[in-house]
Amino acid sequence: MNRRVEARPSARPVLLSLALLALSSTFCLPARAQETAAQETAKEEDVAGALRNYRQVQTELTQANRERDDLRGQLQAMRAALSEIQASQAASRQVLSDTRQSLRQLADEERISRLEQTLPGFNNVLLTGFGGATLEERDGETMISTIVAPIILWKPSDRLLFETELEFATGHGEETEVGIEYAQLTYILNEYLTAGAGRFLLPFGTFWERWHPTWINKLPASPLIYDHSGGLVPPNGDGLQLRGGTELGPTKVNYAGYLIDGPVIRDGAGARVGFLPIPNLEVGYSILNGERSLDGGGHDEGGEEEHEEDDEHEEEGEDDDMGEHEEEGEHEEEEMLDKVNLTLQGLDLWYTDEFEPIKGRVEVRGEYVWVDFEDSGFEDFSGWFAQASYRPTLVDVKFFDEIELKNLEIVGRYDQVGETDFTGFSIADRDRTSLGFDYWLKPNVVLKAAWLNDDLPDGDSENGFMLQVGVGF
Amino acid sequence: MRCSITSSGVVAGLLALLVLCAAGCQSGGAASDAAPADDPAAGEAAEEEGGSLSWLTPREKGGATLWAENCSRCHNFRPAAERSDREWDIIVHHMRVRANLTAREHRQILRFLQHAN
Repeated sequence: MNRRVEARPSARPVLLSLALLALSSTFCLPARAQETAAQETAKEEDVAGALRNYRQVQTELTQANRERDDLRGQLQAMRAALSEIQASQAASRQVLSDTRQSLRQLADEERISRLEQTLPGFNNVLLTGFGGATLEERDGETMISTIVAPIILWKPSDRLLFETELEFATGHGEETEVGIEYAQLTYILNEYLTAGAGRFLLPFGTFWERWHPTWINKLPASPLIYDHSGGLVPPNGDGLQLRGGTELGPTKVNYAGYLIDGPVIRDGAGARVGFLPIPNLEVGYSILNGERSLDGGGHDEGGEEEHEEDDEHEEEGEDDDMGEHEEEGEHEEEEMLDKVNLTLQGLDLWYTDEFEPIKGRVEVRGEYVWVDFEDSGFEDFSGWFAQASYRPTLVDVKFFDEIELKNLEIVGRYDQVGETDFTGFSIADRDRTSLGFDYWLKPNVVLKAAWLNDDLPDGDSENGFMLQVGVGF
Repeated sequence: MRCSITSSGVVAGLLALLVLCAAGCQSGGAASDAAPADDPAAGEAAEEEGGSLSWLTPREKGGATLWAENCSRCHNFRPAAERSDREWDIIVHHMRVRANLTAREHRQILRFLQHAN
């Protein structure tokens, strides 16, 4: 029975609780409302604060971006300034290097100047010259020859010049032939005249003076009238000369006159006049009179002594006057045969021009020489040559990236000369036709190949082939 | 020596040259002498403009034209840079003798080469 009573709670506590609850609610609801409003206010304040913070951060970010951009600009400016400084440093280094080089050059010149002052003869000296090697095949026989020709030029003053060309040649036997082509001192007298004394290349025609070097002559062989061993025109003379050139209105004339005595022509006098009506055409006339030995070369002292010895022996062997008179007659006859008086005359022509239609340069040369023997019994005779060449200077074609067509030149020459070795009175004609191809490795270095057909005085005909390398230095 | 009319003519010619020499010995002639009244400026100006200059008289032509006309008569052109001023001075003097250049050609060609090297 107690359990049933305990199971039913009293209503008073409940009512009291409810009353308390109502009472607390009455008091708490406003407080809660206040709390909610406060919370909302706080939230609003938080939001506003956050918004302020956001704006502040945004402002700071904008400012930071501005500062960043400023810094970037400053960095670029600094980089530009640095580049300028580096360039300026490089220029300064170059100036310094150039200054050092100039100082070295000045020092070298000072040393050279002192050297030249202390070593007389070394002032204004220049070594130049030419050389060459030739392979010749003729009728199955092969010959190789070489030549080195140093030219020494010494200019001690504005008007004085000493020039000499030596020649060292091999190929005609075991020995090396040595010769002096020219050795002369020239002095510029005035605008129109230069005087020369010594051994000089003869101003006869143009070959010996102007184009006999290996790097200038377009064919390996010389023209027959200028052949070194027995040609009509000797290469040089010992004596005096006057020469020069001058303008004549739109044209030009050059001239040379000389007196020589040896080595080939004795008691000789000669002259040449050249006329250039236009710059690329020259015509000339040459003349040379003198005595030439009939022994194939010049007079030598030994030959004259031998003749004197012969005279003495003959004189010792004769006693009567008739014999002496006969001796004198024989001596006079020997003198007549020792030498012959002759006059050489020549005409020369040179022309060159570049033609667009054929894309190249053409050169034509020709000379005609005739000999007049005066009362000697010799038959007068003559010789001539004509040469033409073509080089495609306006063609820009290369083979194998190395061989340029414009460096190739084709040359043809025809020679004809009456030949005599001056030991007798016989003269026979000789003709030669040459065709050559040159390749100019440089303006002063040339490779030449030439085929030639030689109709000799004895009636035989020989074919030959020549290869030559010519160098001017 | 037997004197022929031809030899006498040659000797007379040489004597005439000697007289010319004696008369002209005071007028100079080396490359460094003051040049006679020739004005290469006109020729050099024409050279700069380009084109053919063959219509110019020899006195009007500049160094480059004279070099091109004279230095190819016998051999190929040699580059100016090949030689120093001193060497060109010697070589052009040698060429004056060898090729009978006129005094003016000597001066003008030398000046051209020494500027172009």
